[in-house]
Amino acid sequence: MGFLHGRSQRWVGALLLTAAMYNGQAQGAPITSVATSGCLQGTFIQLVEANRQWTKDQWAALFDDFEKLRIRSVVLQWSVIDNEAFYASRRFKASANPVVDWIMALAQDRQIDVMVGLSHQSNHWTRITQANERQAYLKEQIERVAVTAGELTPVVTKYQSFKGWYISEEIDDQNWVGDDQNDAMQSYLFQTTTLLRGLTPKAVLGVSAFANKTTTPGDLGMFWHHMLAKVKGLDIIYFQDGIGVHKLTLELLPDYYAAMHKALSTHKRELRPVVELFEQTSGDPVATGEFKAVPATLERVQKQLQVASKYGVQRIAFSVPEYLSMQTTPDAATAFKAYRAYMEQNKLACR
Amino acid sequence: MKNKPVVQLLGYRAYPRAQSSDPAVWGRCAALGLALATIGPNAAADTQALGSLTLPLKSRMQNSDNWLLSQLRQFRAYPYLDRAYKRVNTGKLSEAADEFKAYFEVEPDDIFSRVAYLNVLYKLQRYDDVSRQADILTAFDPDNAQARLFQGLVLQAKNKQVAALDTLLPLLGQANADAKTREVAAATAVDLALATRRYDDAQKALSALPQRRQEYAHLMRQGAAFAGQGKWTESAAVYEQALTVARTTQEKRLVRETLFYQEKQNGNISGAIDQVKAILDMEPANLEWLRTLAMLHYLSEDRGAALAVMDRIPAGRLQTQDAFFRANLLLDKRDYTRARQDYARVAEETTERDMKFRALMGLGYAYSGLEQTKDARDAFERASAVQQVPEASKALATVTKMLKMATFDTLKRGGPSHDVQITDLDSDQPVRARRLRSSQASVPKKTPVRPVALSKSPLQLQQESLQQGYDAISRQNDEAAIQAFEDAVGRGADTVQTHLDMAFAYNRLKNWDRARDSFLHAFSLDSNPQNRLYVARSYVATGQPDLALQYFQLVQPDLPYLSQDEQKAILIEMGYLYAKKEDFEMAVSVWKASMAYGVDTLTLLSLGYALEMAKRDIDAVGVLEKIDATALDQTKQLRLFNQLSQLYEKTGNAAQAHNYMLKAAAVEPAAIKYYQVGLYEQKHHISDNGAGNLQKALEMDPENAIYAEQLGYHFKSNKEYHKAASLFERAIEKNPNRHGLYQDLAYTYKQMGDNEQAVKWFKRSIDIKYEEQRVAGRSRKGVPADYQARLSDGEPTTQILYAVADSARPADVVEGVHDLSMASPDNADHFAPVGYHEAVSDLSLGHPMQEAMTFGPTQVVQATLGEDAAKAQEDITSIKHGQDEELYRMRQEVRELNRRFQFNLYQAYRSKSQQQNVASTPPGFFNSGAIPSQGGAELIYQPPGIGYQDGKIFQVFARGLWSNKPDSLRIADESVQGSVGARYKPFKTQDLFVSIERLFKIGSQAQNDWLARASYAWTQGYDIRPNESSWNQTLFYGDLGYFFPNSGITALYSEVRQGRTFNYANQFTVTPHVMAAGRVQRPDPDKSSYAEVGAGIAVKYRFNENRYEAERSSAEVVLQYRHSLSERRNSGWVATAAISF
Repeated sequence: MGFLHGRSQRWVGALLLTAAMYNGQAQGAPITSVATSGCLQGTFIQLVEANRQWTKDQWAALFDDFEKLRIRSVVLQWSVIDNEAFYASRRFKASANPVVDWIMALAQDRQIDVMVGLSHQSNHWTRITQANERQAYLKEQIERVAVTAGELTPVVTKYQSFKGWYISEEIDDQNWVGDDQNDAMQSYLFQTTTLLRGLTPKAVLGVSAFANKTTTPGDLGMFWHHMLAKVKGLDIIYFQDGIGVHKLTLELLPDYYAAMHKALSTHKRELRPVVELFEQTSGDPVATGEFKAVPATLERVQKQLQVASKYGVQRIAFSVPEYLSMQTTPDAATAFKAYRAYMEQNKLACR
Repeated sequence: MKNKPVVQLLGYRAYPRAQSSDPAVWGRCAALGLALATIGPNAAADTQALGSLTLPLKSRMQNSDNWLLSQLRQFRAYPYLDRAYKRVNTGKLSEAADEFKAYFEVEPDDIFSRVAYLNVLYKLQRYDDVSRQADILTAFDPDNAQARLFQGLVLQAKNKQVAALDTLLPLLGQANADAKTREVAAATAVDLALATRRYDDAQKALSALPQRRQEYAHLMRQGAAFAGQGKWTESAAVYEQALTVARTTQEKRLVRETLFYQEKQNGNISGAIDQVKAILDMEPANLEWLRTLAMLHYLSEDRGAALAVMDRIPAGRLQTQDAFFRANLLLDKRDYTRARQDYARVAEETTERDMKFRALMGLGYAYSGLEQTKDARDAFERASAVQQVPEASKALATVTKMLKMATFDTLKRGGPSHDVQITDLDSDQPVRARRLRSSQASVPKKTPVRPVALSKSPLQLQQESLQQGYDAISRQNDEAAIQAFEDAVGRGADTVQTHLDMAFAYNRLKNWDRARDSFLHAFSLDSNPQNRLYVARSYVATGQPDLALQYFQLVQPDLPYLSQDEQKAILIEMGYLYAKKEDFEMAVSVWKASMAYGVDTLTLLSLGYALEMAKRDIDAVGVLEKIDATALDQTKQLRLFNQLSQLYEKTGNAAQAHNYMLKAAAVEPAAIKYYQVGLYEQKHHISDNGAGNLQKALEMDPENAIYAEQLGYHFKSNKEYHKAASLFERAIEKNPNRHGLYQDLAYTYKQMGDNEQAVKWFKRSIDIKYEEQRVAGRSRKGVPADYQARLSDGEPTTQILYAVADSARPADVVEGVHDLSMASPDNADHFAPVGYHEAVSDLSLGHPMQEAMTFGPTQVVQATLGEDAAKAQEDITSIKHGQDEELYRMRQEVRELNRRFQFNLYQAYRSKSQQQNVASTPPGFFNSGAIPSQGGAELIYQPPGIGYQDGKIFQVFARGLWSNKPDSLRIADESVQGSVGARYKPFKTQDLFVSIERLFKIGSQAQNDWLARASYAWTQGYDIRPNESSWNQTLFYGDLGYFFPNSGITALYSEVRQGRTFNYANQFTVTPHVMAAGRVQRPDPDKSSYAEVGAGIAVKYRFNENRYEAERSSAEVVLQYRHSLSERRNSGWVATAAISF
């Protein structure tokens, strides 16, 4: 199950290392390598219920944080969750504030690209694991995507910040490996990308993926090799590194990146590593209970970035708002300050 | 600051750019001709920022403010404007737009800044806002050229190209338009005209552009316009001229590319080759153009040149498909070694099934050419494993045969291990192996396998597959056609037409999903309007209306290019899809739009339906009334009349509703129609209240119990009881299961005064109720406690439902069905199982059952269960109480109908009594409140026939009354009073009795006299409520008597009680209560009038009942403390006991 799904919004815990420690570690590293590998070029924004109440000023402050982190790409995880939209929707329950509009406008003013997410259902992970539900779910989901994209196209394409669409499903390596499942997902992605291409011919299309340790890198690469051969409309695959949710380890990660990179290169698609900025503390698979996480140590994030930089030009964080900004929790604020100090200290030139 | 120009801020381009150098991209442009493809970077006509446009002479709108107010307003507005420009300068345009907006709220008259604001909004792509602002400008000045220009640009941005062009073209000749505006308009119009293939307009717009005839961009557009007009020579000449003025490599390449497509379109392969070579001279390493050149050489059958070009591609950049193409060329050139290498690579890398097959076959041929027969056999075997086609089998057989022959030669030469080899080769055919061993047959050794396919090019193989597909279609063998087309796609015929052919074949096979995918493939290759339509309609077929709607929406910009019929059909289809999604407003919108292409009755009908569903009933009536019903077939006429009837009923026009019901009945003169009309007339008291039409329905369908029943109800309400009873009996005869009718028949007979028949039918109804209760209480297999869990497990609801309906108690069944219906509300099957109807029947006895039958099962669930479990339980309990009360009421009816004799006895005791005759009888007990007494006995006789007539009662009676000695229950003999008399209850529903009786003296203080009386009782909750634990009880009793001729006394007694009754086993009731009572007498020489209030408790026991009759007898004890409000009367306790037999 993907880490982006159902993440608790209770941001607790503390950043373990201080800025001074970061600086001390960074001093020994060559500036050039740090300058290229230590950057986060993008972040996800996962809209949750609380975001409905955010004022435009709050969003502006968050985007100011993005600017300070030199973020140049935002992936909006979704614009509709279940029956609730974050824009003025006719079909879904519309939000009071035009959240998507604000994000697009703020991004435009700061020359940040936005990949606009579409529709998500909170029972996604339950339904795709049920054989008798999967097909019906995907059929229903693509209808939702059609409605969402149809409604959003005139909203988002008026902004220059609109880069493309992010398909909100996260493709894992276990639920779609059988022939029928694989066909179903291929058909879903084929239909979705064709529709989106029809609506917005110039838009970039992306989807995210993740892996479990139980799948070998070779099998993962082959899975995506076949998928991309059939689904020609996908431009970007956001590969979640799984470090924060303990799906992969830093030792294993390079092999998985390499496998994905090879598969994507063969088909001329772009790999964008997704760097998890958090450390999961409860919830499956770490423990029972709800998902909880704290900001990861900068040391760990640095390692993730170093690995990721070998396979992707743009590294996307999951996610700055919750774990690396001044706008949400004290822990995230501490992490933000530390990362900023690290950037200053090492003269990171991320743009 | 206000006059600061907006110049150079925005730099938007009015012309779309088409700069791709990717031939594949260019290839996709072919559908639009060369026009767009030849438009290059538009330096000459590229729009400057609109700030450079000259301002109109009037830079302010006229305003009635005086100078001072105007200055104040400008002063207030200035900060907004200042900030707006600052934001513009820092690139924060959305914030700038906010500032402009605030500025115009204060200072709306500043035209100059509004143009700047338009510019900002346009840059922000807020086109609706641009339109609004442009409208403001044109409202002030209809000829405002800049506003018109922006309106055109917005239309262009919204992809309404035709409208945009039509808006911009008039600007070219508009006198008041400044030169810059005209230039931008002309430049944009050129592109729009080219995009919409209006090449004459393109030429016209080009001629309006100033002095740029020798500029590159102008020439490119000129060339495109000529090409669009089919003037190829002129076009080529202009492009050649463009080549001479092109300044950059990119521009030159673009001209070459355009010429290349022109040559290609005209079938001039050698000319196309020349252009590609020229391009490659500029970009020698461009992979796509190298491929294109190789393919052109191949098409011109110069395979050596093709191979040479392919060899120019560096090994590191050679893709799988390149290797495949080169391998085929190498095989053709018999360069087996290199061919083998390329094929091996392709077979390893490709994921396409057909390419893999072809690569393995090629590998086999290459090995064969290299005389590596075993390797060839391995390759052919692998190919066979990928695809079972004759070519592979044939090649495999040939190479296997060669191997055998080779082994045979070895055997003949006495090789050391020949037996093993032969067995290995042909182990499943030892006989044949032996025969071979002894054969003298000889096959030329080491002949390379050169099957027929070897000499075929990939293109030929494609063509073969395609031909096989078309042949299969002509044989109406769609499965074979699909297979052939898939082969063709695998062999490189990945074309729009192949996918469309496949899609149509899938459609004929009704394999909608596959058809949709094929249409999508075609669409992804060429998104022309027709392919969008195909996809939209394929999504209609797969039941995905939202997707269908999106693709229909994609067709909208191109609607003007479709035929009128097609445009209309699309809008109508969209309407149905919106209606399916219950978006009736949108359905109304598109159906109305479709009317622009001609009005047809079917669409009007649909529009009427959508309007009704959108709750626009009046509009719906308006639309439907426009329909000429005579032009409709019978089915549609019926639909129209029924809908109009419903609409008029909803809008309160019963007469018109009735009118259309009659029309519907005339169209379809069926019994059901007349029945419906009759019901409607009955409900609205129209005509003869439905009698005629109900009668007609029954005449047409005499066997229909419902019609008979309904007509019976009509007669019953008309007090024509004989007819009603006859029809009810007929209905029961036709349908004995209409249990509610037995009771109504009994009441009908009761109303007729036929007590004997009434009792008979009441008893039958009572029997049915008892049986229903017995069934309801029967033990079933068990409560389906697990159905919720099964539901969670994803088991289909229908499956669980039948288990529930089969196994549960009635309340559980209904509850279970309710839960399941909530789980999947669209599944009407929930209400189908017999068990469910039994359960509803078990629970809904009497009138609730009638309602159930009226509303139908879904409504029964909603009506009886509500939306949640607690409410459901409450409703079920209520239904049960209703059933119990109904049964009890019928048993009471039988009791009253059968009553002949009754005996009542009472005795009261009051502490601290000052008078002997102080207590009154229990109110309503036997009506003796007017005569003060402490005890009494009464015998009543109710004669048959006149004794009970539909609630009217006549009785004769004899009674004795007495008082007791002080502080004793002993009868004071001197007080005993006797009487005989008769009483009559004239009203069916009101407990009012009038009586006359002769009082005769028994004790010394009694009297001989006449008494005329009227007594009235109103009670609520006085009777038992079976199975209810408690209820409210209110009671009022009044008794007015006149003694004559001797006494001349008039007396009035009245009592009120309010209490709560508690029920124990439906036999004992206990009613704590408060009370007030009073007696007034005139004349009253003894001052015996009094008033008192108090509280007490009444305990009543009912007994002497049987199956059909409610309790005939009761015993009651009332204990009260009464506080006197009169000075001459003491307060104290009063106890009263009463028995009734």
